[in-house]
Amino acid sequence: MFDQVDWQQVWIATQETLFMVGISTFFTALLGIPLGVLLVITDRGHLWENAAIQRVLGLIVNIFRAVPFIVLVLFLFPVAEFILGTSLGPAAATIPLIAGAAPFYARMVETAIREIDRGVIEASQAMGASKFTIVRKVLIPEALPAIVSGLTVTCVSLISFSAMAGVVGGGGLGDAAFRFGFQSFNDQMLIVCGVLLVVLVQIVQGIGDLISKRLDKR
Amino acid sequence: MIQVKKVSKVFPAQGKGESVTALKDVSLEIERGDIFGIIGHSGAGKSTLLRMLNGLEKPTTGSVIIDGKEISKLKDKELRLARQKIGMIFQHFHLLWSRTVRENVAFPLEVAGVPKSEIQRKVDQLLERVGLQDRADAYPSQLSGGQKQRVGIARALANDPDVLLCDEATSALDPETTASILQLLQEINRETGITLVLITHEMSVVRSICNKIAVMEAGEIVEIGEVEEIFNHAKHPVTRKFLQQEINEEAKDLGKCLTVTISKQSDWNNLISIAQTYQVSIQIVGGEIQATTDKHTISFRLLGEPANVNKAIDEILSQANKMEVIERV
Repeated sequence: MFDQVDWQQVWIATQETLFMVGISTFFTALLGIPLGVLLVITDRGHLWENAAIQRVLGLIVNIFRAVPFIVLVLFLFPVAEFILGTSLGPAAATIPLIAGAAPFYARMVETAIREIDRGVIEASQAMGASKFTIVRKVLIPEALPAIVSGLTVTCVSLISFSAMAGVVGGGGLGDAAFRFGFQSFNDQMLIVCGVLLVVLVQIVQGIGDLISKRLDKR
Repeated sequence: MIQVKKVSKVFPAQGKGESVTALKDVSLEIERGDIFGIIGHSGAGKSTLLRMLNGLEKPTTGSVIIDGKEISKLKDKELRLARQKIGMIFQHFHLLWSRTVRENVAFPLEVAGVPKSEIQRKVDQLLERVGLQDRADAYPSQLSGGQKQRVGIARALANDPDVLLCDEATSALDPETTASILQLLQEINRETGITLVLITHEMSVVRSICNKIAVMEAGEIVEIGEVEEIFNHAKHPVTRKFLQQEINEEAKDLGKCLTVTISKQSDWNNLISIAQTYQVSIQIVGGEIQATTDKHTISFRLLGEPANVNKAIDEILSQANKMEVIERV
């Protein structure tokens, strides 16, 4: 039935997608969480009030969120070249993916942390906890369910964004569906790649929801 | 132990609003082992005053000295160390919901850098003290309000503080739970000699555990002294209002209360015969003699089987032509 599907190609594309999404989700979390925390604690009357940092970070985050992803890919050619020595391939594609997703995720982390009752932070201060302790032992653990569900949403977006990584030869299922399926008039290939993407999204969402639910003790 | 000297606090204007003076030249002294109550309406400045005792607010002028250390002048790190010896509990508990009861109580010990094995031992001891050893692995969301406050108390006592600040600690609790929490606080005060400073808007809280009281109004202390002295000889109208409010609330708690006018001896006899008919007893809670009009009022409660009490009340109401029922609470 799927006689026109090049399973070898599908397998390679799946690996590329998993690689790109995996790496970029990891770095998105690594950048987005501290950024989100900083956006909250530098705010007026918060743990580490600092209007300058607050404004600069807010501006950077908004710029990256405003630029269309495809433009970001082109803009960040030199950056990928600089960091990785090449601007082509799945690894190079992760650079714009991270740049696009981290600010988006930082806003989600920011919202999650703002949800925490100020009284809880004050109680921790009253116990003599330092700013760093409060971030590490209060802010992040208390917001963790929302931080995880935000990462799930971001990861799903990364799966769909990764389809555009074809521009830089990143490959992946989205690119395969487009090039080997749509452009080659190979409907079967298009369907298989599409279905695989849906399955991947389902798995990510399912795991994310499960973890988030487990963490939520409210 | 605690000295507050001529403290004022002005919150600067935000945007177009005007600056707010929360405290005006407040001075007070609290001795070791005192249970010191600060009572006032919301906005009277009592919360700001309490928060100054652990440096959550800094005075605009004046100084706060605890155990010889000027809290208002401490550097960040010294302040954090000082705070470990000043526990605080809150109206809304402010527990970490991501941590179990045990982990919540362990938190201040982690902050203080206590070794793990020691934390385990100490937490067990604290949970036993507040009577929650069997809920150690529950999460705060699984606890009742009273239990949450017990966790809050255990947490506040973790580093063996010299002072415990109570920020409306019983205001979110029902009267029974309030009584049990106050009792626990009093026991802890007796056992450890810890100094308790509590703010409240309920006189009943002050009456049940405090030995000293300060009444606040509009950022100033209007009356201060020993509880007995203030309760018997309240001078300031605000204090009197608080005392009156307490009486009203107590009357409400104790069941149906009637106020009737009595002008003749037979009215009184009539009342007694009704009570006898329905086998209820009359408890007088207040009264007033009007020498000029011969219309004396008496407030009383009927105690007994609820069904009988209701019948007796109906009977009294039906005789309204003889006895004027003024008020029915």
